[in-house]
Amino acid sequence: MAKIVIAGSGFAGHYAALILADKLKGKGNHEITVVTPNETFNYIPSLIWVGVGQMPVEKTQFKLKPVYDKFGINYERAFLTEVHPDENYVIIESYDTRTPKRLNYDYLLVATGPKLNFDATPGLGPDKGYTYSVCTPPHAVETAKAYLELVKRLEKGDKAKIVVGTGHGGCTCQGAAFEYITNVHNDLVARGLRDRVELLWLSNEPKLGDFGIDGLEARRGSLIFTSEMMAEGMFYDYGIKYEIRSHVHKVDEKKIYTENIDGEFKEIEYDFAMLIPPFAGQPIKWIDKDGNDIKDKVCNPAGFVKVDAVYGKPYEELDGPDWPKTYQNPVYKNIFAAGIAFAPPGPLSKPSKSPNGTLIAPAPPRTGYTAELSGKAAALNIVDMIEGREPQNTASMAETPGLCIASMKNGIFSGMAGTIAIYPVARNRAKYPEYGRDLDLSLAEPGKAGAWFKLGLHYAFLWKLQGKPFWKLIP
Amino acid sequence: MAQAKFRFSDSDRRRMHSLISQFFRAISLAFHFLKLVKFAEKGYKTH
Repeated sequence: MAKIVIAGSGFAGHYAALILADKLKGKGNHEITVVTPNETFNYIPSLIWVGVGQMPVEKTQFKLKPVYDKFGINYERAFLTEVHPDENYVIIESYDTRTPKRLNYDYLLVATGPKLNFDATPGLGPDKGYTYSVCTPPHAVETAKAYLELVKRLEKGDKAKIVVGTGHGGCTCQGAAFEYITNVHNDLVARGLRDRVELLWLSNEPKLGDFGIDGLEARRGSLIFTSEMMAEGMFYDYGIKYEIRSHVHKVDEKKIYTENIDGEFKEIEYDFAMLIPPFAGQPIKWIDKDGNDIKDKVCNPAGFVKVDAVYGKPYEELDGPDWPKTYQNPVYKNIFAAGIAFAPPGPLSKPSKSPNGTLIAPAPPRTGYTAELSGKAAALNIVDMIEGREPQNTASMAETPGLCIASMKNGIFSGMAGTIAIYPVARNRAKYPEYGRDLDLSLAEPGKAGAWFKLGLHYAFLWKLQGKPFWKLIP
Repeated sequence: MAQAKFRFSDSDRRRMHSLISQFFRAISLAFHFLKLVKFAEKGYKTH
């Protein structure tokens, strides 16, 4: 009998739990426990609609406990606070009372997602600062409330400047912010208020449409169409201005203080801002059998768990084979990390420094689908180890596609979204020497078809992740 | 502050807003996605 502890209930952790329960069913009395502070699974990609007040947050969630009961998975609503990898146990603290508890494991999967590091930029974030976020359900609800209050002021004749983008030079998930600004544009158009608002895109991307993945190129007949062209075309049509290659130093209630790659400091006035925070690893202690802190041995400096990647290479030398495949920790072979919790070997986008030494380096994003792929690989590798095999399942970001639908407006007849596909996610010049990707399989195109996919994926993912009939057939 | 350089053509805009054109595009994209999903699952050996 094996005891498996999964920390986290997002795309990677929750999907891994379902896969493990399914694969180990009837193969012995194995015990799977999910440790998460969340009561619900949160479908993060739809929070952009919650943030403009177009979808109730409940439509993006379902309760975890009934699903885990159905699959025979133990559910601990708690925070993972300590890992003792030499002695194979973790300490968790209950969500309600913060009572510590010891959980022994044979296999541990860390899929905790990121800590939203608002503290990296003074004045950033809804809790201690002045900006809004759509990264969590409560944040998206708060953002919608503030946005709809602004709409009321606009209806009375006020004018406003809305800034959307990234709140630090090291941010990722520019795609979510892109979705938010285009949804805000279309919402304001529908309300007849667009002419009263100046919309500004503020981001750390080296080029427009970079999205933290170094952009993408797709072959269209004899031409090559890029995500930069798609973003430029949409921003022109939508009248959105932009400041890119920018780091945010601080935010106060009236201005955002930025520095760009040329070392120019700017002060941007705003009335409403939604800025994505940088991510860091969750504050988990890693302790060896002698009580020493071994976080440096297991995690990278940002706190993400090291896996089977090649770390330490400069950006220019980093290539596809350096990306992790099995998601197994190299020191503790019974520990895996997936989703945003694993430490990537480096950025996908080109990092830069301003003449003043300010680092502007987008971190690599991981979509829900990419997180699921890594979670599934880790889960299947745990099954391998339980059954006496070496981990043989891989889902390298340099060998798997990235599928992303960037919503610009929700709706069956009036919707619009950018359909983005890249293969592979991380450029793999060892396999595709010219661009690092297969341009015939990549695409970036705006249209109504994307809006239908986005809505379809919302319901398909929620169906699959609740383990409803035929869930295994949904990729 | 920069402004976008690339412009969609009128025919691009017509195509992305046309229900009929997008319906057929959606079918084509669905097959494309399924093909990519197959590639994604190539690395899974344990079934």
